[in-house]
Amino acid sequence: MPEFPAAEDRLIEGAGLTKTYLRASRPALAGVTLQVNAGEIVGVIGPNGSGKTTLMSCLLGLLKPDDGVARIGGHPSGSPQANRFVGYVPERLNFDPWMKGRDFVAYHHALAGLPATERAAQVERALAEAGLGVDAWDRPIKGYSRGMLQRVGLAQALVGKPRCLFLDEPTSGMDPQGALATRARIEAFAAAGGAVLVNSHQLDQLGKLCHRVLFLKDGRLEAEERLRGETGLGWHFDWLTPLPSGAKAKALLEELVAGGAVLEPGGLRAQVADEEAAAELLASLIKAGIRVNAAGPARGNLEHLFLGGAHVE
Amino acid sequence: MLNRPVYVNTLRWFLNSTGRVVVAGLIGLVTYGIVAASAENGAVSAAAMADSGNKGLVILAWLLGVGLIRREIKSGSIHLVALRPLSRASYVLSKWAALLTLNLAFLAFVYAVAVLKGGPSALGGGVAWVALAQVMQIGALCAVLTFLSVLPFSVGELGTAFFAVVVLAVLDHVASRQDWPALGSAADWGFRILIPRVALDGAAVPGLLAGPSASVDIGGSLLVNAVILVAALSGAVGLFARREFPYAESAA
Repeated sequence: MPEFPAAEDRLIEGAGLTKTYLRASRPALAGVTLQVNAGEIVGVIGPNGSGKTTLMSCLLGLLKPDDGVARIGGHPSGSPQANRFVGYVPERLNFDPWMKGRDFVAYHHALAGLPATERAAQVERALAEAGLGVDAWDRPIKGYSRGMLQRVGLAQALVGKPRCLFLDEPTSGMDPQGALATRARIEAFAAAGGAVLVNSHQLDQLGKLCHRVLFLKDGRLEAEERLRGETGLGWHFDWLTPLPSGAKAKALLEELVAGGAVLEPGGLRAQVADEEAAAELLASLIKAGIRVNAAGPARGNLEHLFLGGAHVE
Repeated sequence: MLNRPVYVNTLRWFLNSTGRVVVAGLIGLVTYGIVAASAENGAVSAAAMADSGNKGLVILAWLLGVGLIRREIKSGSIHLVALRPLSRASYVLSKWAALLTLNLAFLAFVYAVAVLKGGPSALGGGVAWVALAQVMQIGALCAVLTFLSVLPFSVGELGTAFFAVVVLAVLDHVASRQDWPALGSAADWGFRILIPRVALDGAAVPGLLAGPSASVDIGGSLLVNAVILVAALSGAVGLFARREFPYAESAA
């Protein structure tokens, strides 16, 4: 059984996670290993049935893996000690429909074992930070829209003062403004030292949000894409073909490829230190006579990864 | 060991469940009529209270307790609670305690009616001891319902109730057959476990009929129901502690 090195900032850890459901012909999860560190946002993508939700359930301790180990904050997943670290927003927002939003979040504040004296203020803060309108706080949840459920779900996840956030499709059903605000809230959570694991099909959102994205297929970890973080940002530069055949352009591209950039039909993928460096690279390409018509964070790679992976049978 | 938020929230759920409240109110009204009439006629006896409790209390407990935990598993709301820093044992015990509280409130209501309509003497002749036995009966009944609600399979709340009626009818029939003594005895115990009761005429544990009531086996009923309570509650806690919560199990 795999062992983890003890590390303060390794908040979410899974090693060799394997799970086969009763009467299933193949494992839903086959030896998946991952870790999410403090300050990191990691996305999980993959086709339906690829094992994303099973992975999250094993990491949370809702499912017991047949093999492998899952820990949160260094504690065995599912234990009350590990659960002190956890905030979770499920995809199916089946919250108690008879409860009012404020009562629902207060209930989870109480379940988290936090002091009753701070409850009212912390519940209101969580609701406000999650972006739920004040007029909805004292209305029964059964009347909430999907976007409102997402917000009250985020509020209940954050109200327990977690260090790890597990989010399953956190912005589906939200309007663009709500999605933007939620993204900012998640980024602030990670910037404060939290670890975030996100399951989503919204590749564009993941591309903007995540430091790393893991691609699951048939229960296996097929690929990992680093989008930003210590090693820089992944950027794409698309240009009008054909490429100019000038010596300047050729030399620049050879230099970039030698530095690790990847030439693709009609463009280039490169790791840059930051957005400033990306702008400088863009200027260099134009100066070398390359007619760049689009550039930006390499979220397009997720689609490539997803669609490519999803179509391979 | 009890978790206050789970306990309070479960009570609040019951009170917000309009259908259950209405039916419980109807059972309360019928019970009020029966007990009040008996008390006014001076007919409140240990045996009568035990017998009426075996019927009204059981119906009410089943009405309130079917799907006690299963409902949360089915809806998926258990996922959020299971990820909070409380032990699974305290969750199960808190749900049981909430169900017990409501049923004890009903029992208190029944005895209050008897005293108000029949005077303090209504509790004479061993009736107070029957009340004690009924407290244990309700504890055991709630524990059985709690156990049933954590089983990994379910046919829904109505289905469970229907299934229980069929099983109980079969057990009752088998238990009454004189030509199958061994099977009949097993069936009788099966019936007693599913529907813990306060036994009349020394039927709980033969030989234990003695003490404060001449017609109700208080000692035997206390003993049998205490065993059922401990076994069912331990079983519920043990099953729930090992239980997984697959996403596919909850309603989409």
